[in-house]
Amino acid sequence: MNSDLLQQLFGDAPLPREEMEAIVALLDIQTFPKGTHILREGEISSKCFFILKGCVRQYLLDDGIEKTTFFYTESQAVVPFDSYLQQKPSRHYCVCVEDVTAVVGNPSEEKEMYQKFPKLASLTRMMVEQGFGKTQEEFATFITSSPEERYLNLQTNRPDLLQRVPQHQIASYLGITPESLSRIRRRLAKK
Amino acid sequence: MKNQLVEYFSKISPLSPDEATAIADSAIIKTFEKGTFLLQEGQMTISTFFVFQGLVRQYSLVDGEEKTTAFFTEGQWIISLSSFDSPKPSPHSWVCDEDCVLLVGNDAAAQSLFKVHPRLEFIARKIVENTFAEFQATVTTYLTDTPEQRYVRLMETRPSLIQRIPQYQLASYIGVKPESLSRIRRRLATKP
Repeated sequence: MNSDLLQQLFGDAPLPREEMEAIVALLDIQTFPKGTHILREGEISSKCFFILKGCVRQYLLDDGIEKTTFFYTESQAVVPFDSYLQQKPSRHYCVCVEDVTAVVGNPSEEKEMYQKFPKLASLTRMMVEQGFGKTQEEFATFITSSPEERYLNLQTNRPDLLQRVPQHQIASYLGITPESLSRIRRRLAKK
Repeated sequence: MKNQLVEYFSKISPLSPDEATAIADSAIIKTFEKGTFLLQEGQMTISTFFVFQGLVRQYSLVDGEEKTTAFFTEGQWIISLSSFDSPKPSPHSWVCDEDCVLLVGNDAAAQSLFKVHPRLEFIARKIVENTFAEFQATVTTYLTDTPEQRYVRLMETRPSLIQRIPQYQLASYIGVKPESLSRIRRRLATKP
C-alpha cells in the first residue's frame, strides 16, 4: 500500500496501519478530467469528495455572471453541505480546473464505514471541525481586509493557487474585477 | 433548558433514554450578564456555546474600529475552532450584547461522553456540519450580494435581529457605514 496515500488521508491519526489499509481498500477513488462538473446548480448532491490531487473551483451564477466562492486543492474535502446534508438543491457549481483524483463518498457508505470502523467517526468529526475552523478564520480575514490585503493573504496562505488558476477567477474570488487585480499586482510589484 | 437541549439533539437523531440522560447530566448551563466577554481577540482557547436565550456579537478590531462579523441568537451554536489543530490567537471577540443563558461546551467532557455513547459523536458532527452549512451560505452572500441585498435578506431571515441591535452594528455587519445603511433604509421605505 502506498504510504503517501495513507499519510495524506490519515496524517498522524492514532490508527493501526492494518485498519488504515482496510479502510483504504474500501474507498472509491475516481479520476475526473479537467472541465468535469462534479456538482451543478439545482442538483441535490449525494456525494462528497476528498481531493487527493488536483483543484476544484466552486462558483455560482449571479445574474448570469460567474462568481467564484472557493478553490479546493489537495487534502481538502468538497462537501456541498446545503445539498449533501440538508438535501436542498445546490446553489453552486463545482468544476475541476485540473485533472482531479478524489475519494468519492456518499451518506449510506459513510454510515457503513462508521459501523465497521468506529474510530473513523472521530476522525471525520475532527476533520469537519478543522475545516470549519479554517473557513471561519478565512472569512474573518476576508471581511476585515481590503482587496489588496486579501491578495497578499492568498499569496501567503495558498501561493500555489495563484499559479494554478486563471487571473479572472482569482479576481472573482477576491471580490474584485480583473482590472483591479492587475492594478493591485502592478502596485505590489513596484513596492 | 436541559429538556430543550435533549429535544434539540433528538431532532437530529432519535436518542435512547441513556443518551438523553447523559446529555442532560453533562450539560453546563450558565447565565452571563450583558457586557460579558466570552472570548477576547488574541486569546488561545477552543470554546463552544449554544444560545438558549440572548444575543452574542462577534467582532474584530480593524484599525481600532469594531467590525461586526456575526450575531448569534436563540438556537444557534457559537463554535470557534480556529485554534483546533494548532493553538492560534482568536481573530475575534465574543461579547454578550444582552443578558444570555448559554450552554457552555467543554471539549474534555465531550470526549469522555463520546467514549461511552459513540452515537453522540455522530450527532455532534452533524451539528458542526449544519452550522458549517449556514456559515457557508452567509459567506456566499458576501461574495454575491450588495449591502442592500444583504440587508433585505437579513430582514427576511432574521427580522428580530433588526429590532435587537443598534444600527451602527448592523451597518458594520452588512459592510457599510451607518450613513449608507440609513440611505438603504430610506430607499427601501419609499419602494412600492
